[in-house]
Parts: sequence; C-alpha cells; structure tokens
Amino acid sequence: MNDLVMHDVSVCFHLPHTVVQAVKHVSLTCRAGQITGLIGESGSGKSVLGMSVLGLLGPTAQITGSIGYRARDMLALTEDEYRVLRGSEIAFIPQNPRTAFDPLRKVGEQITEPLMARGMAKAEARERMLTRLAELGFDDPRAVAASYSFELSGGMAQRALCALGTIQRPQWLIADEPTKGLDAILRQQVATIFRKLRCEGVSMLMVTHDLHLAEALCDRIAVLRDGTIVEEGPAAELFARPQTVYMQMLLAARPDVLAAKRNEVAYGNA
Amino acid sequence: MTGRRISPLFAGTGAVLLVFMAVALLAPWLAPYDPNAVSRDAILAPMSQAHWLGTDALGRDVWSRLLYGARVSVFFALAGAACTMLLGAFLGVIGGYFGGVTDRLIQIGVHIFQGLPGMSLMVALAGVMGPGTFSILLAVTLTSWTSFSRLVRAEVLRVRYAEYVEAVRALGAGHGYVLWRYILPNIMPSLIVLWTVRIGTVLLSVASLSFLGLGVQPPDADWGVMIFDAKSYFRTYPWLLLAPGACIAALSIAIQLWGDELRDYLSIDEEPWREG
Repeated sequence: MNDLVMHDVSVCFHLPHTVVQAVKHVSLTCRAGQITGLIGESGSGKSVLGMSVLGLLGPTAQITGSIGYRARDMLALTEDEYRVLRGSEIAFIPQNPRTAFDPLRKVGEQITEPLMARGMAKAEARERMLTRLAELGFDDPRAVAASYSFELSGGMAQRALCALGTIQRPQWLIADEPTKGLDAILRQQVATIFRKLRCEGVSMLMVTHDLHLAEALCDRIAVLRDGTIVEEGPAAELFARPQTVYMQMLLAARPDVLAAKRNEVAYGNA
Repeated sequence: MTGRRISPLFAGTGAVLLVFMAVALLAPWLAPYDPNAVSRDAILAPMSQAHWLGTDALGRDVWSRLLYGARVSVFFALAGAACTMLLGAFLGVIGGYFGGVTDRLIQIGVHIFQGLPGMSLMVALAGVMGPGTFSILLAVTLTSWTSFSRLVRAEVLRVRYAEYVEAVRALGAGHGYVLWRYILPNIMPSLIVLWTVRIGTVLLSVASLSFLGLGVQPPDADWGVMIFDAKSYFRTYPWLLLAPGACIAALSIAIQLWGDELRDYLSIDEEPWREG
C-alpha cells in the first residue's frame, strides 16, 4: 500500500541553451519495508530520480510520468501538499552531512526545528531530539546537540543528519549517497544506522555508487545508466548473477576485485 | 576562529562614528547658539572665544550650525541607506530566491535604472517633486537601489543552493520560513556591510543635493547647505567652507573604513569544516 511506484518517469532540465534529459522512461517499484538501492556511475541520473520523488528539483526541471504513493500521484501534488508530505511522510538525507546543516545554528536546534514548526512544545521536542540522537548511537547527545555541524566528525555529522531526517518518523527515507567521502569504518557505522532504521520500519530508497553498501544493505537494486534502468532485481541475485555486461563491468571495477586481480598478477595464483 | 579580533582601525573609526552620532543627538545641548539666529554685529567674524569657528555672512555661529547640521546629515544618511537597503534587499532576495520570470523582470528593472544617469535622475526627481524630506529619500533610494539589489541577489544565490537549504526544504519548510530563518541570517553580515558602505554614499548624495539647492532648504543647517552658503566667501573666509567639508569627509571616510573592518569582523567562515 505504501509502495513508491514510479511509472514511466522522465526528467528534463531546461537550461538556457540546451535541454538535458537526465532520466528516461524509468519504471520502478520500491516496496515498503525494504531498502531499494539505486546504483550507477556518476551522472547516471540516480540522484535526480531520488529527488524528483520529493519535488525538489527546482523550476528548470520538467518531470513526466507518474510516481504513485498511497493511491496518489506525487507529481500532481501542489507545493503545499508536497510540504505536508516532506519530512513527515517522506524524508530526504542529502549527500554531504557537513553542508546539510546551517553553519550558523546548533545541530540540536536544527533537529528540533521541524517538530516545533509543526506545533510541538519546545521541551517535548528537545526530549525527542535527545532520545533520537541516543538511539543513533551517540553517547553524549547533549554535547552533540550543543555543537555546530562543523565541530562534528564526518561520521557524527552523518548520524546527526540521520536524526534530522527521521525525527518526524517518516515512512520513507530517501538517502543520497550516504557514504560518500567516508572511510571504511564510517561506512560500516552508516550501514549499521540504516539497518537500525529499517528495523524501525522505515522504508528506504538509497542512491549510491558504493556497491559494498548496496550489497550489504539493499533488498532490491536497480542499476541506472544514462538515465535508464539497465537491470533490476533482488540484491543477492543481482550481485551473484549479473545479467547485463554493464553490471558485470561495475562489479569488476570494485576496488577489492581490482586488488585481488593485482595480487594475482603480483604473487601468482597460489 | 579568524577575524574576531577588534582591530585598532575598527575601534578608532567606530569611536569617530559614535562621536558624530552623539553630536547629532545632543546638538541642542551642545550648541552654544541658536543655529539660525542672525546677528548683525558679528558678520563673518573670525574664530574667537565667543564663536569657536567664527560666524557666517549672516552672523550665524558656524560651530552651532555644524552641530545641528550633523543631525540632518546623519539622519538622511541613515534613513536614505535604510530605504535603499529595504528596496534593494527585498527585490534582490525575491529575485535570487525564486528565480525564473520574477528574477528576469526584476533584472530588467535593475538594468533600466542602472542605465539612467544617477546624479541627473536624482536632481530631476528632487526638482520635479520639490524639496522635502520625502523627495530627498525617494531620489536617493531610486538612484542607488540597483547595485544593492544585485549584490544581495548574488549573496542569496550563494546560499540558495546550499545543501542545508535543500535539507530544510526536504523537511517540509515553506519558502517564507526558509527565507526568514535560513537565507536572511546567512546573508546578514553582507547586508550590514553593504548598508554601512551605502551610508557613506548617501551622505555625499544628500550633501550634493543640498549644495544644488534641491535638498535641505536654507535656513536649516545642513553641511551641504553650509558649503553652498560659504562658496562666495571661500577665498577670504575659507573655514566657512572647510569646516562642513571636513565633517562630510571625516564622516564618510570613517563610515567606509568602519564598514570594511566590520566585514572582516563579521565574516563567517564560508566552509569552516575545511581546515587549513
């Protein structure tokens, strides 16, 4: 019922001298309760597709097709209807956790802000914010709440951002490259957080080019190339038996595969 | 944290501005004479114990007129800059934030007003509407809002596409909320600096208008009016002209330098997380 059903979605950007078609006729069903991964190389249109769900693409973008959610077409919503949906039903976690917080305001203040804007009392909102931060693995939520985003480490900022995204207890979470620029240990932490969110019943659409994360976390995966889906299926199957040459190439380009190949060349096939 | 130290120049120019403000506020108590009182016994008197800066052609005390003139000049400079800022910032913010057709229409307006020669337009406006507080403010505002609005627009564009604005929109915030809570605070340092710099230019514009007889009207004391009155006696009684001229110069230089220092002081580190 709460599935996100994209049908024949195309996105064009009307730029001054040219028209860029970022997404071409994509049909994809993201099931509620699951993590759907959108993978592909940079510029394949995966972020654009993720953002088009929330109507955040700006005036130059033209979206056609339909995105069904709860028996409604999201693309037909007015700005006001979108606003009600954003954050409380479908939340979005932007790419860079450092720049996703206003540098002038403290992290805690920003996390409680959407709650208070929707009428919650300050003390209650603060309580909920601290609980949420603690749930996401912060030992000292008060210290984090009293920090500015640039005072947090990359992993902490990512967790704080997850708290910001999920503070209104949304049904859906759209995460845009949640592990971009993080090292292996922090990527592990992020994966743990997203697993936790899934246990809480949050459905997710995860845009990533981190194939390890996708393999470890996603239930289903869609592979995007040049704005079209070239392959789609359950994650385990897709990684075990990639059908298309493109997916096979993507898998072969993984750093660990490359490292194994290098070792093979250097030390022979022992 | 960088740029949070109060430099000597910042403190010094700030003190000069405070003195001018205090003088403007306290003129009635500081001035020894009525600035408009004519005295036939002391026409063009030299500097003396009784008249610190002498008297002008009508026997009015120059020191007292200078103090009262600070009132008028400071008021017009602050109010003119504020009106310019309100109009320029409003249009700049709207254009920069919403973009599209709105922005294009505003930009057309900016180009038209920038194409008109500022000083001539100001003189024409003040001339057509007749002298008066309102017409001075309107003339000053209409001729100087464009540069303000362009700079504000550029600032808004910088913040508009920041990821935190996108994030707060994704959380369901409306345009008004984003503008008020996220865009304005982030461009505020630039706005304040632009405003202070504008005060200096407006001070000069109003002085020019008054000098041309289109601004503050005689016998009211204003530095521009005083320079106009003094120009016939410049060779023989240079202090009549030098005194208000020095005030205008000192105030506008102090404001410009102070604004410059203020920018350094307020400058928020654009990307504080990039250590280096």
